[in-house]
This record gives sequence, C-alpha cells and structure tokens, in this order.
Amino acid sequence: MVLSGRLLAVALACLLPVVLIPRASTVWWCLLALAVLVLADLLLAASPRQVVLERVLPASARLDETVQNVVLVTNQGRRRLRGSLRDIWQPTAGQQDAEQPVDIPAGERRRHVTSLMPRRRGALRTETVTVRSWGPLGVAARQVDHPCPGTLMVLPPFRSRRHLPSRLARLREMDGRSAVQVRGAGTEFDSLRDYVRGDDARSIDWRATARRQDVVVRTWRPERDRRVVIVLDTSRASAARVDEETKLDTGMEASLLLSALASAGGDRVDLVALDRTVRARVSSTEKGHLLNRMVTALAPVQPILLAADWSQVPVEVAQVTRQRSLVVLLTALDAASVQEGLLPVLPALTRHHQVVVAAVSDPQLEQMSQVREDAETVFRAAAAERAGLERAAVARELEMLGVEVVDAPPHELPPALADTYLRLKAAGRL
Amino acid sequence: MSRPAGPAEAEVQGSAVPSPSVPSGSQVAARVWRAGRVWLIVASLLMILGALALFRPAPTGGALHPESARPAGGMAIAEVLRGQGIRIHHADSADQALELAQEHPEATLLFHDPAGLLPDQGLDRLAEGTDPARRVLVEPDLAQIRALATGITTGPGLTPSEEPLTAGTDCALPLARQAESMVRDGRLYRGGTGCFNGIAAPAGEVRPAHGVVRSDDGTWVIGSAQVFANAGAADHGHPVVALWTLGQGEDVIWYLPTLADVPVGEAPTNPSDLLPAWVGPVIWWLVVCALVLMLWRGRRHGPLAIEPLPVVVPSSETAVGRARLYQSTGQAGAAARSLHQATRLRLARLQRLGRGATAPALSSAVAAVTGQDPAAVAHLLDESTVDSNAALVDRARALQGLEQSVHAALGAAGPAQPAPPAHPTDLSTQDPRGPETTP
Repeated sequence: MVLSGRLLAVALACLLPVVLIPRASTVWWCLLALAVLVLADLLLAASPRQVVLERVLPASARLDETVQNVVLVTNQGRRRLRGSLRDIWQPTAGQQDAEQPVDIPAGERRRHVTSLMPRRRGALRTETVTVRSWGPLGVAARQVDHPCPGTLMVLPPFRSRRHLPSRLARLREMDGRSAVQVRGAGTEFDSLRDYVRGDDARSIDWRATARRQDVVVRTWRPERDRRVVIVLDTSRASAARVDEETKLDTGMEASLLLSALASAGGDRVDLVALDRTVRARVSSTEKGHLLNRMVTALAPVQPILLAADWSQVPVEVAQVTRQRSLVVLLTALDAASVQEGLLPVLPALTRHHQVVVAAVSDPQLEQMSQVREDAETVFRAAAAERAGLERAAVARELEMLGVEVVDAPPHELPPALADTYLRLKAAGRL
Repeated sequence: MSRPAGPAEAEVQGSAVPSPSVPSGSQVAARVWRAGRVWLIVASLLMILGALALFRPAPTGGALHPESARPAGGMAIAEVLRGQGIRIHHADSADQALELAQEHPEATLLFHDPAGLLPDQGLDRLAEGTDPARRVLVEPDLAQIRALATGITTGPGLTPSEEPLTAGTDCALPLARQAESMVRDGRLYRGGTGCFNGIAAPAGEVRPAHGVVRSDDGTWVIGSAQVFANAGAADHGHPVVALWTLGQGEDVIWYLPTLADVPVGEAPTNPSDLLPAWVGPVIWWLVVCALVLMLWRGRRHGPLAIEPLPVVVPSSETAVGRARLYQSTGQAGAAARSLHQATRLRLARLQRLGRGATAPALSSAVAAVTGQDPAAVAHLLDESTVDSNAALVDRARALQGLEQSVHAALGAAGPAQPAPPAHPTDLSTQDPRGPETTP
C-alpha cells in the first residue's frame, strides 16, 4: 500500500470539523472517513499483480556507450492501470529516469524505455521491476515487486583503438605490401627480383645473378605465423588505481591493441588471464572474431585481492605452444611481487621464449617527485623518487635476464607495447 | 621467500580464502560474547551499585534523633538518660506523641522542630494534650513559643562564637547556677524566669533576653540545640542543663516532628482545564496527519539496488605512506639519499655516462656542461651533509635546480622531462641497418 500527498491534504482539511466540533468522536469519524477513502481507492485500483513483464536488452555493451533498456508491460487485468513503473538497476548502470509513469488500458501492452549508460565494466544486474497502481481518487496505490532479472555485460572500452591504424600502416610497410621493400625489414626470404638503382649491394643474390645474366636481388619480409602469448595478471597487484582506472583495465587495453595488431600481422595470438587460477583464455585459432571473443571473455574479469601464482605461467605457455614465441606479461613492477613471484619463474620462460614485461607506471609519482616546497612535499618527493629507483632496479634485474621491459603511464602503455612488438618483429626476434 | 609457490602450496593457500561457510556453535558463542560483553559489564556494574544502595544502612534521623550518632544527633544524651533508668519513647508525629503522653502522664516531652513541620493545629493539640510543667522546648520558633510556652516571646538570634554565655549573678534558676555557662548559639527568649543573658547592653536600656528560660507554668525553653546534640553535649554546662530538664521523671517522650505531621494539601488545578476544548482533539488529529505524512514520504518505489563496490586502492598510496614514515621518524638522511640517487641516475643518463659512472666523473661532467664550479657540484651531489629537515628542503631544491640547468644546457625541452626510456620505441630511428640502405 502506498499513500499520497493528496490524502495528507484531505487529512489536513479534516482539521476544520475537528475544531468546530471538538469531541473525541469527531476524531474517530474523520479517521473512519480517511480509512474508507483509502480502502475504496485500493479496491478500485487496477491490480499491479496482473501484469506480465518482458525484458528486451542487448547482451552486451561497451563502457561509456548508451544502451536502451526496454521492458514490455502487458496489463492482463480488467481495469486500466494508471501508475508508475521502476526498473531497479544497480547504480553504476547509469540508468536515466528509472521511475516513469504508465497508463495501460486493460489487455494492452506498453513499452517502458530507459537508457543505460554503464560506468563500470563487468556484469551489471537488475532483479526487480516495481509496479505501482493508483486508484481513481489518487489517494492510495497498490505496489508489487515483480522479479524480472536482466544482465548487461559491459565490455572493456578498447579506447586505444585509435592507435591501431598507424601501427597497422607500419606493419604493412614492414610486410612489403607497400612501396618500401628493403632488406632489414624482416629476415624471412620472400622473393627475387631485378636490381634497380638504389638497392643495397649486399642484398644481391650472386647465384641467381649468375643464372640470369642479370643482377638479381633478394627481398625479405618479416616472419609470419609467429606465436604471441599474452599473460594478463589479475591478482591484487593489478587492483591498484592509476588515473581513475585499475592497472587491470590498462592491461586489457594494451592486450586488445597488441592482439589486434598481431593478428593483422599474421601471428597467432593467445591470451591467458590468471591470478591463482586461469580467469579467461582466448586463442586466435578458434572460430569467430578475435577481438569480440577477447572483450567478451575479459568483461567479467575483476582483480582479486590475492597474490598471483606465477609458477603456473610456464605451464600455461607450454600448453599453448611448444615453439618459440613472444610472451607478454602484463603485470606490475612492484619490487616485492616481482622478486618473490615472477623472478624465479622467468628463467624457465626466457630459455625458450622472448619475454616482454609490460607495466603501468604512476604519473602521480612523477608529479610528486617534482613538488619540493616544504618539508612535507620534499619527503613525498623523496618517497616518490625511492619508488622510482626501486622500479628502475627491478626493471634492470629483468633486463639482465633478457627480458624486454615496457614501463609507461596508463595512456601510453598500449601504444608503447605495440611499438615494442613491431620492433621485435622487425628485428626478427620473435 | 624467493622460492615460487608450488602447486600443493597454492592449493593450501587457496583454501584459506574466506568462504561463506556455516559458522560452528563455538564461533557463534564467541561472536555473541564479543558483541555482548560490554553490555554485560555495564549491567553487572549497575547491579552491584543497586545492591550497595539497597543494603546500605539507612541514615537514621536528623537533628537530635535519639538513635543518631552524628554530630547533630542526640544519641549521647539519650544513652546517658537510659543509663540512669529513664525510658526514652521516640515519637515521629503529633498523634504518636499525644498517645505516648496519655500512656505516661508523668513523662517529660522533648520538642524540637527547627523546620516548623508541625502546623498550628498540631501545636494546639500538643498544648492541650501535655502538661506544661513537663515540656522541654529546644530552639522553638515564635509559633511554637506562643502555643506551648505561655508568657514567653522570642528575642534576638545569636551569632555563634567561641565565647560562652555565662549564667550571670542575678540568675534565679538553680540549674543555671550549677551549669555556669553554655554555648553562644541559637536564639534568645524573653519572659518568665531566665538565665544566660545574651544582650551585651547594660540592664535597663534594653530588656534582657536569655538562653535558658522557664515559663511561669514550668515549661523549659532551651535556646540552643547544641546543648543536647552529640557534638556539644559534653561542653560547658550542657550535661547539667540536659539531665536537669529531661531527668525529671521516669519517662521521656522524645518528639521530633517529621513529614508525617505535614497535612496533605489540595491538588493544584489542571492546566488543561484552562485551554480551549478543541486543543486536545486537534492534537490527536495532527498526530494522525503526521502518520499519513510519514507513510507518504517514507514509502520507497521498490527495493534498494545492490552495488558490489570494488576496493579502491590508489597506486601512490604506498609512496605517500612511506613519505609520512620518513617525516614522522625524522629520516632526513634517508630521504636525501633517495633524492640524490634519483638525481645522479638521471644526470648520468642525460650525460650518457652509463650506470657505473663514479661520483667524481659525474660531478665534473655536470660542472663542464653547466659551467659551475666542480667542487660546488660535488658538494651538492654528496648526500652525507644533510642532517635536518631545513637542509633537506634546501638540498632538494638545489638538486632540482641543477637538473634544470643541465637540461637547459643540453637543450632539452622542459625541466620536468621524464627520463628517456631505455629502448627508444620509435621504429623509424631503430632500423639497425638503416643508414647503410637507402630506399
């Protein structure tokens, strides 16, 4: 039961008879009158229970993208339903105008449309739709909560998509599809062609020249069908927030860009997200669009507050491939977590594979180390410098093991990782 | 622990993750005990206090009470009288006193009512029911004097003083002559036969007033309760006065009026009778309106939505915490070491000196670039001289200035340029055989 402000107005109007006939019985009579009014309205209201709800919702949406959430409301009662409807989404779904008036004649159906603007990645849920039906007097209403569950999977936004065209262009240059075709842009023998002025004399193939009686040069192209294994750390190290997003979100951006680039470059991409167990696994050899499958697999992954189990990484990589591949570890460069978890397992990886460790650096530490006004800020600057020195020491330790380290602030990490991939590919180190 | 966690160990640690399992009985009991122990302690304290209040011996009586051992009580005199074989009958109310007076017609009445609890009617009944010659009035007020001691009026009050009242040479009372002196306290009375004159003025100018007075029909009026109180019972001639006046017969009715003597007054008028008739019903109706308002505004449109909130961990939290730790423990030296190391690392990288550059090499290189005095630069890059917060702030700024000047000298873009990455990521400058092959 719901009461309205109109009932309050009626009750206040009842003050007049109470003042004019100041007896206890007047109070009781007025109370009875109010009760009769409420009861009559409740009995005359359309039943909110005799309503059938149907939800129409896209299965997934990108972050920061508006989605229409439609609830079809069918009034199966015999009276006209006047009232309101509220779809109860969790707040980060960003629902606009959650509560809307409805007016449905008996036996008809109406659309209840709200727009959702998700502010958080992952599965967003609604469980209940509440229907409120007012009586003809507008004094009292009946209200019923209908279970009407809905789940919207919010995918990672892939904002670093804008870096993709320039990197693809560079990949094509290397690949020989565009005009530049020089030795050095790859190590795989491609074809022989006639010498033209300007070609490197070292690329002349003397054996073929002897056969043809004409100067012939070899052309080269980057290797294809290489393996790229991306390992995304979802442990507590990735829960820290840098610039409004977790390190895990930045890692997802970087892995999406790298996957898009590598699959365009003809390499096989595998993604494993793990902490103590494997949270998501995607491979480019399976059917379907790689990026779609990746964002769907990564959407529900959230950082958990446990340390990662790095000893699983060589096992997982070995399961994916036995041949030499590029293993990209997207994690944090914390001295403790790296030294205790990652360093012991790295030799097993570097023996067979080219390993890249990509980590998010905190631009706030950079700012902290620059402000030197009073004792407090100087101590902060010193602590920030110490943190930077520790990162540098960890990075140096990794480099001594033959690991490439990419350490960049959140917005620069995805393109930096893509560039590292291109450089390694160009140098034939995949 | 630098050893990687084995799979078995991981299993064990994994199972240690808190899971929503059913708590056992002892866990529930422990939780109830933790939650309720504060209230248990408070409740038991209250119970102890209540028990103390309940079983504490009640304080007996007020001034001159025959069972009270307090300084103002009258237990000392009462015990002495009992020792002499005199029976003490304690009365709380006029009715009780009159009843006792009928039972023991020969009894002496001790009357002391400093608060004036006994109303005029009670005084009149007391005057009728007792023998005037067997009354002892202690510090009576004007109304009590008028009702119980004929021919006597009140005189001035006395300021308490160490100097006692003396019986005086013209004293006609053998009691007073025997007692010789009494405390200067309470008040004085005029009329009848009196002793212990308290008026300093010469006789004739002002009527004398006395500390002990006997009316013509034999009622004793004693001007000070100190005479009978435990505190003063042994002083001056007080024992003589007390035993003389109270020891006349076999019985003493010790009457100290209490609240039981105060007549019950009429109930005050009800203020609600003064208000208009409609106020009550309107108040009740406004309560109904308030209920309607609460039900109107307090109703939610459906249940609350649940948001599983993530843990928010700012990345720079540990660095800020370390800064506070440095500051609270006064580690200016450690902070300076961090600043120096970072600056030296960046300068070495800027000058392409490599990681293993020695301090003299670095300072001379920096001095050469910026044109500063090598000794000053070497001193600046030596962290061992920083020992206070003020020195630390100065040094931090000087290091920043040095870096900026090196940047400026080398023609770098800005002062706050982050260090260039170890590997240039731009592909166009990276082609290993680029210079030799022209496209």
